[in-house]
This record gives sequence, C-alpha cells and structure tokens, in this order.
Amino acid sequence: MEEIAITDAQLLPQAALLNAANFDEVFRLYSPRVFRFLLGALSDRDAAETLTQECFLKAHLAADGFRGESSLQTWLMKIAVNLLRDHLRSQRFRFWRRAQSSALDPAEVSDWLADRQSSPEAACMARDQVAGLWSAVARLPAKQRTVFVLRFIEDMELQEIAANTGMQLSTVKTHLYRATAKLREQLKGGL
Amino acid sequence: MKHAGQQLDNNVERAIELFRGAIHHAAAHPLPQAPSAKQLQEYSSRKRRRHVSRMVMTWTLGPALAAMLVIGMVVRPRPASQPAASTYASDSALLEQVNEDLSQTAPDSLQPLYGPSDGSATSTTHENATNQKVTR
Repeated sequence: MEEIAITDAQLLPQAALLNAANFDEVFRLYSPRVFRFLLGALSDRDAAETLTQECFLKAHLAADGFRGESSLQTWLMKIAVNLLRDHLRSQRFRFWRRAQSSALDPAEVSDWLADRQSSPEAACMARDQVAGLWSAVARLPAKQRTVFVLRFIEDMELQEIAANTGMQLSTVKTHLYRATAKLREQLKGGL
Repeated sequence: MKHAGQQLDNNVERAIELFRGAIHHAAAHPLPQAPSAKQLQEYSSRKRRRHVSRMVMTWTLGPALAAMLVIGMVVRPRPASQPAASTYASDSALLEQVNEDLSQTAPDSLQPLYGPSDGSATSTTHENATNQKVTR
C-alpha cells in the first residue's frame, strides 16, 4: 500500500490549518486518503475530487472547532464521511441525474490489472470481477458503503472506523457484516 | 457444497483485493489539486453570506410567523350566535308559501277514481264477514 506515512510528529497543530501557507502541506499529506475513500465510495472521479476539495475547505473554515481530541486525519475523515453522507442523501432525491457522467470506468484500471495478471484471460476475468464489485458497492446503502470502503480500501481497524464515523463499534460490525453479506449475495451470480 | 461456498468466499476475497488495488491505482493518478487561495476566499465568503442570509431569514420569518399566529388567534371568526329576527320572519314566510303551494286542489280530471278510504272500507267489510263465519 503506497500510504504516506503520517506520524504524530507530522500532525500539524490546529492553528496550522488557518494559515494559508500551511494549507497546501496539509492537503498534500492528508488528501490522498480522503480522495481514495471518496473515490471508492462514489466510483466517480469528479464527485470525489469536488468532495475532497470541499472537505479541506470546510476543515480550513472550521479549524477553530478542531479541539485536538482526535488526530487531524481522523477529524478530516469525519468531515469526509459527513460530506459523503450528505452527497448520497441529496443524490437520492435527484434520481433523474443518477447517470454519472464521470463515473470511473473499470477500463481505466485495465492496464494495472493486466500487469498483475499472468494471462489475458486472467486479466479479463479480473476486470469483470472488479466491475462487478464496483457496481455492487455502488448499490450498498450509504452507511454500509462507508464502513466497507474504510475497512477494505483503507484497511482501517473496526475501532478506527467507529472513531471516524462516530458510530458505535457494534454498529460498525453490523454494517460491515450486512455489506459483505450483500456483496457476497450479489456477486454469487456474477462470479 | 462447502467447497462451493469456500470457492465463492475466495472469489469475493479476490474481487475485494482487486477492487482495492484498482481504487488505489485510480486514486494515485492524478491526485486532486489543492484548493487555491482564491477558492478558499470564495468559499469562506460564500459561507459567510449564507450564514448572514440564514440569520436574516430566521430573524424576519420567525417574528412574522409569530405575529401571524397571534393575529390569527385574536381575529379568529366567532361561532355563529343567535339568528336575527329577520331570519325568523323570512323562514316563516317561506314555509307559508310552501304550504300554500301544496294545499292547492287538483282539477277533477286528476282526482283518483277510488280514494284510499274507499279501498280500506271494502277490505274491512270483507274481514268482518269472514270473522262472522268462523264464530258460527
């Protein structure tokens, strides 16, 4: 995992977010994870980029509200989770705009998949699997999708997911169980 | 059966692994741009404007609604009281007119051949005759 190692020493103090000079540095350090989470949950590059920028704009404006009880990364992920929830909620009522013009095409990652597979057949099968899982994840309810992406894309521990989403640990477990059960069920026919 | 289930789980695990790799790959190329200083300013001024307009709406609509509620309670239409004497007079005049129309005598050609009293008298006579036969 090409994760940018963020140590406690790198965590900037709350005032740093207010400083426009440090803002780029904060963005460089923390945006990949936020963007990846949003991209995994939305499968829409444009929407993920917009929400990532909005997440950091919100953080910049609300820097006074950051009390340092959690790490800056957790705080940013919390904002991202809330933005995702609001986005999905507003999207539900705009069903006529559901056709996503910038939805991520599995073909976009076909080169990467082809590099990892031993044969063209295996690469083709892998592409189908990814496409199937993509559409299955897109059909999950917002909370289940959030928990699933944080667990399997971001490799977060359940306790960490609870801290990032503000859910109880048992609620996280329930959502994760339901999400995986649904995906297993939906992939049963496809795989 | 168990083997099939295990196969499915392996497939799901593999699909999740591929999905994860694909998302990491897609997210890394290219990374989103940091919002510019201009965007930061615009966003904060937009937020501020929205906050101000929300405050204005709250402080104007709230008292307006409260005033409308109070006015509505004060100027509420009272329940209908006793009808005026003129109403009684017009009612009785109408009733009289109706009675007058109904009590007009019909012309001879429209009179029934046998009145209801004739028919009832006949049946009563017949019943009396039958009763007399039974007592004998």
